[in-house]
Amino acid sequence: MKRRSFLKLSGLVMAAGALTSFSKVNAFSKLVKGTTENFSLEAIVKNPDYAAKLLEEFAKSGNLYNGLIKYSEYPIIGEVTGDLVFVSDNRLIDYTKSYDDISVQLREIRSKLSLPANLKNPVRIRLYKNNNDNISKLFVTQKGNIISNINPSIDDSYTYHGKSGKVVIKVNGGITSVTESECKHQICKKMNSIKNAGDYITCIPNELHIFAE
Amino acid sequence: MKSEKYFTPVITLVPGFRFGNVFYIITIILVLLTVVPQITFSQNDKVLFELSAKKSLMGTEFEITVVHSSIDTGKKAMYYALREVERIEKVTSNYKDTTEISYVNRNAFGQPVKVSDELFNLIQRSITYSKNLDGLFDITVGPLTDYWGFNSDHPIETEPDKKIIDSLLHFVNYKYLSLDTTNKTISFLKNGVSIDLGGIAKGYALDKACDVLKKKGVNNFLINGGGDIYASGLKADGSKWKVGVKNPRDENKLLAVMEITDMCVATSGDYERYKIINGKRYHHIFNPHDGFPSPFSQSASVITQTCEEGVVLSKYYFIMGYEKIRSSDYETSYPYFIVDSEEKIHYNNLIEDYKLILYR
Repeated sequence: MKRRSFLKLSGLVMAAGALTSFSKVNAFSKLVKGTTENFSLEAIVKNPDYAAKLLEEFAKSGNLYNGLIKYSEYPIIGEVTGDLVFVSDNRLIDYTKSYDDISVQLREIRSKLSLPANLKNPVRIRLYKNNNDNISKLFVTQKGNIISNINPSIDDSYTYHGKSGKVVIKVNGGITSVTESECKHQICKKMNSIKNAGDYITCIPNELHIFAE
Repeated sequence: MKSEKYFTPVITLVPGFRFGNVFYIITIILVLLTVVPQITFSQNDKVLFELSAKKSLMGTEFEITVVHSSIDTGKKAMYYALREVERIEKVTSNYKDTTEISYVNRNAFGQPVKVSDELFNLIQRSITYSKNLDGLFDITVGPLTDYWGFNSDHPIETEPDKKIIDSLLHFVNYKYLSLDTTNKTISFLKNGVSIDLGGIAKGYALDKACDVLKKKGVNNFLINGGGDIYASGLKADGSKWKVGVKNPRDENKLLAVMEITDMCVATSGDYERYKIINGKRYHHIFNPHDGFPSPFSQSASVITQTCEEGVVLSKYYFIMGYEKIRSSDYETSYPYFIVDSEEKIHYNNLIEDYKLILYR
């Protein structure tokens, strides 16, 4: 191979590589406008295994974040609207109208999951990354099912009933704690209050679990 | 013809390649630097998922966190690991009439009861621990645990009666258990003997859950069974898992943090299950020799290779207390961290290998 041909070929390969890189970054930037400090890709679905597979493929295609992504999965009791929701840096991303690669992929996933739809007793799955400890959501589960979604910024008390009796949860100034429980050992009352995303309180006798995201 | 020229560079380039040709080398390096990151990016090997699952089992909370490149593998591994704990609970729990150990407790006096290999081996190992630890670990504490009631919904409400406790001690001794290794049978040599595997079963279940996770292809995980923790592999960033020791008098605060990999940190504390009666704290870790809660420690943590060994030894260290441990062989046997009854912290040199950081 002559030096000229070799140079041409090398130039083409490098240009192709650079363009691929540019197009990916550009498409992602377009969607989330640069930073990926925090994101949440959440789907409420009837078929969590299939949905998790699709979201995993999406994440691995380099579209979310090149590092550790947290995954959670909880069943929801009752009838709710199932959908695919993408939040980046606390902004809801409307992928339904844009034509960049990522929006198109998210629309495909949504379509494959037959969303949006009214679903009875669905499962909520979520891929997310939190770089701060701020609580955006507070959930209560019983026997592993989400039974309540509490607004962590409104001071209020909530009462639940389990096998051992009543449990009262109080949200006060962004801090959530169990203030009353009719269980024997009262461990839930002694557990840490919920102050940051990731904190939780569990009442084993009543099978209640309160956690913050 | 042109395309042939372009797309056969490796074949045509190699014969003509000269080591002295710096131009070719620099160009190839540039191409590799541009293209290889793109291939890596598209495969995105660096995306890892952190998944958690928890379930109330064996009277406590089991929680697993795994780090894996596949959500499905992680989910299935956690599911089967928790199912394994559930299975062991059905063998070892005293608080369900249908378990294998409950059947043994009802029927083993005066007649051999055939048991599963798993239960036989667990009881056999328990007896070995009892012998090695001078009877300060003893699975025949069943009558005492029933009296104190900390593992049930009815913990003791009034001052304990020493006469009753002394009378119950007549039934507490691992030597009242007779094991037939050939036929895998167990019998009680005294009427009223009752086995309580609460001091070992959780550790055993944690070990079995770890085995399941590893068999299912998950090697980086943290599993916590009511404060006894096994850390396997590494975190996603390649660092070791950090395991904290709670302040026994303020569970919202940590006293220390250690860096752990492929080891168990087991802790016995007087804050887990207790009752304060007339200003005195009565907790669930009692000395099988006198039947009363051991007064020397608020908590004792040990680092061991298996959780079974860990949960047994943390009780032993707790019951013995720092003063007796420091003058025994156990001072240098295992890394330990003890908070004594006066809230003083004691630990040995071995624990410093785990990058112990004290918070007070």
